[in-house]
Amino acid sequence: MVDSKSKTRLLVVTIVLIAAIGYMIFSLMGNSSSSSLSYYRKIDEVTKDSTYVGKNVRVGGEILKGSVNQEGRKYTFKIHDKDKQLMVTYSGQMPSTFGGGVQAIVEGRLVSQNLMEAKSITTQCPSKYKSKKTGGN
Amino acid sequence: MEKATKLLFAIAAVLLLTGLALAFLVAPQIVIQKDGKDVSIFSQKIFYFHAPIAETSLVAFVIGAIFGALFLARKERKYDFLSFASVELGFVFGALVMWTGDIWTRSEWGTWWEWEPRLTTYLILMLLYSGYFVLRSAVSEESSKARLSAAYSVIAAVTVPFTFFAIRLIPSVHPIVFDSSGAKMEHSMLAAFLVSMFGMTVLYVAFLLLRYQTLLAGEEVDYLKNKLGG
Repeated sequence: MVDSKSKTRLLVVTIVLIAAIGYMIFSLMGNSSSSSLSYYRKIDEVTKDSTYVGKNVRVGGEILKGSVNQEGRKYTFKIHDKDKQLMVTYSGQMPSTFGGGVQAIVEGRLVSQNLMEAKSITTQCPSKYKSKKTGGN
Repeated sequence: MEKATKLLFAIAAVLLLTGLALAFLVAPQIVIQKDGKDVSIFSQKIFYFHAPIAETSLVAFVIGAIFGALFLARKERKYDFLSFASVELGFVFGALVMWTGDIWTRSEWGTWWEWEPRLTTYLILMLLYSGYFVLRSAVSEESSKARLSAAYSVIAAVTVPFTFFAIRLIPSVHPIVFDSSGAKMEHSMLAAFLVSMFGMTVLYVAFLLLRYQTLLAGEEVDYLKNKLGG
């Protein structure tokens, strides 16, 4: 049914596929906290727990209006989730939708409980399509 | 090409061109609030093609699985051809989704790739389906090739609900435009989307029939070759 050359090829592909898929599922799950399944953390999760300091984390929140400071390619800004805030420093290319009031996910090393050195910033695109300001949400 | 297939291609062309016109000329640009100001986002236009292609790819994989199951139940050659053709098309539409999505995430999320639930589960789906073609090419004997790939097409389709629900169950950056409350957009946007979506589906059906006919023709050629002795 299957000749030996094809068999070897089939086996190699199967192993590579299983390894790749396994790794992806593991990394997707591994990043989540034990209590809830999520691929990023909430701000209060990292600010109240000192064990995250020095570690690489991914945190989601809204960019605080008026908190963005830019010096060349260096940015400092705050993200917030209600009254919980986290200071973020970042240098590099910013996504075009970056700005106060936009949802973002920042990934990087937590320097202290309230400060992150971000390596990457992902802005979230809206899932509600509006053509003009309609006030409120 | 059969007349019905030609007609389907024509309908798909009209619908997709209408969708294109509606998306760029009729549907308004979306606006987000940035630093308290309204900023319009042009890149959202790709939504009118990205989402229909995505849904068509998932539909194609599900239909591939249905024909696969039918083959396992009835052992008729035509179901193997239809299942194979559908999975093939699902894969082509899948590649298009990843490409259109890639451009879009670069523009709106600021990254080419993000290991978030939708992208990750969709990549898993594509990897699994790439295994389908490897399997098909590895088995030379026709009846076991058909049987094995039919079974594979059914099992691989498990990833379809997996990727569909991933962003609905796990908080993600990938937007959920359609949920139980309906479509979160204006009517003219929804019209552009639906026309494009319908056109993409008709295009898939047209390609499915075309591919099915070529597979049948290929089988006939093989049969005639054998009859002639080489």
